[in-house]
Amino acid sequence: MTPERVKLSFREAFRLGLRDALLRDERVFLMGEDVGRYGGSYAVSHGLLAEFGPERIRDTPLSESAFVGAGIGAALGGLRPIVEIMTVNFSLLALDQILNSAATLSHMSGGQLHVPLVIRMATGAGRQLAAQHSHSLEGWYAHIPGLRVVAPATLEDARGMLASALADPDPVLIFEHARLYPIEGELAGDAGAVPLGGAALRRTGRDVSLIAYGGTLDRALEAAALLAAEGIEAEVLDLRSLRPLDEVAILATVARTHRVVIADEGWRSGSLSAEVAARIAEHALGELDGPIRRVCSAEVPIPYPKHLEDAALPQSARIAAAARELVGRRG
Amino acid sequence: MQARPRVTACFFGEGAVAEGEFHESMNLAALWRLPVLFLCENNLYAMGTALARSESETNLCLKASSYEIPAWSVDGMDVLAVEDAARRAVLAVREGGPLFLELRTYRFRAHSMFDPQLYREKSEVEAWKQRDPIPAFAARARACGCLAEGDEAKIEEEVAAEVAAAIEFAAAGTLEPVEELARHVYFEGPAQ
Repeated sequence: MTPERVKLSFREAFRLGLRDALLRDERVFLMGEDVGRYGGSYAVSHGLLAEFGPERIRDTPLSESAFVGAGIGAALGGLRPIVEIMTVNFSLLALDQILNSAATLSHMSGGQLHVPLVIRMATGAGRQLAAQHSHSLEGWYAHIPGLRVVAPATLEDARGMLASALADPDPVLIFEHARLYPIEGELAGDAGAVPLGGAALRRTGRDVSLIAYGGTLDRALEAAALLAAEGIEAEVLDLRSLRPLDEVAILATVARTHRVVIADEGWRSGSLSAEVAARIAEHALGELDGPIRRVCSAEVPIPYPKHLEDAALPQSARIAAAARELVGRRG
Repeated sequence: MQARPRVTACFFGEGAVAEGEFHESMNLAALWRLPVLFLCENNLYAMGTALARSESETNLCLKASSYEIPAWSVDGMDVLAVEDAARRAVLAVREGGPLFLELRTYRFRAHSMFDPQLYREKSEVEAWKQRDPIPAFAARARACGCLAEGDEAKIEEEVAAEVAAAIEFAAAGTLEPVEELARHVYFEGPAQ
């Protein structure tokens, strides 16, 4: 019997994942700014306080460094904390804890300590929240050994990555793209945990590979639809995990299409897209029929006015244009 | 949350009091009544920066008090006073949540091998050395008859031998294999 599919938003999918985790394991608790009485700054944790109480749905002061540090301590002490940081922009206040403690203690202690901490945070632009709430800094975190970094871009992943992150003995950062929260779709009623690692092919095609993650996946899929109408078959690879990167899947799609466009909402210089491009250049340069193209955010603080914000972001039209130009350039 | 009867002792220097982290932690510990004993070793210099050069308010206990945390200051050069205060502090933490204990002390030697100590007078160091906690404690122990003639030299010898043995053990050990450089970046299984 096929389980019924249910209609829900990304916000609800994330909430289902949280609720499951809290029900399944008493060691799990959620803490962060406004996760309780306010219901979550993006309403992800709405209703959880009433169900699980203030001990496990814990409002914190605006003290990112202290409550991430408390999460590290709780993880070392045997609990399974989920720390919510309102946006990646604010996570910079806790960067010392994340890098100098969470990511480092295992190696520094020769494996005697490990930090099974999960940090969820919103990332990305598209909601007119201006520069201090809209950046995409997940690529910075993907630079750090000792962390696992994931970016759910589908309802299945929004629902299912948290369980695997909690089962992981190392610190895991989950980047939830803020623009996706209200977007609705269908999900299998019995959807559950999904593995953290491994990229996923979201569309197959022979002419060009569009590599995306998080907030650029739906843009890449829209671009693929535009291209299909013109007779260009684009393959869309969703990275899912930013650290470690699924190099096998990246090289495999390049080997199939020989043309690649990387869509990344981070700034181009020193970005995750630069890392993906470098891996391809290191291992599959001979497979390429044209230069690696990148569609990234404009190198400006993300602006507030909608027309400027739109212009700053890697939109589907720009991704499609980059692919079109590559395919036009027959190798 | 696990209701374990434990107290966490958190050590830091007076220099850390200038970090935002100190204030965030004080507030969170008080707010959640966490069983933390904050032990501030105030040796008057954060590397080379004197307390008065980095703090507008040099009374550290006032800062903790402002978070509704009981704050005690004790002579960190007095072994018995520190022992007594620490014992009472742990009891107080078990009863009522976090407590701040300032241990007023001094660093006789340089901060590191690269520290020429330009920031303080030699006379200041010499003055503090007169209050060296180890001889002071030994004198009190002798005075009360707890330390017999010859015991002190014997303890010094034992300590020197233990240190020498540790150095010898470390020097005779093998270096970590370079092939294991990348181990333990991620969890590999239960610690042995």
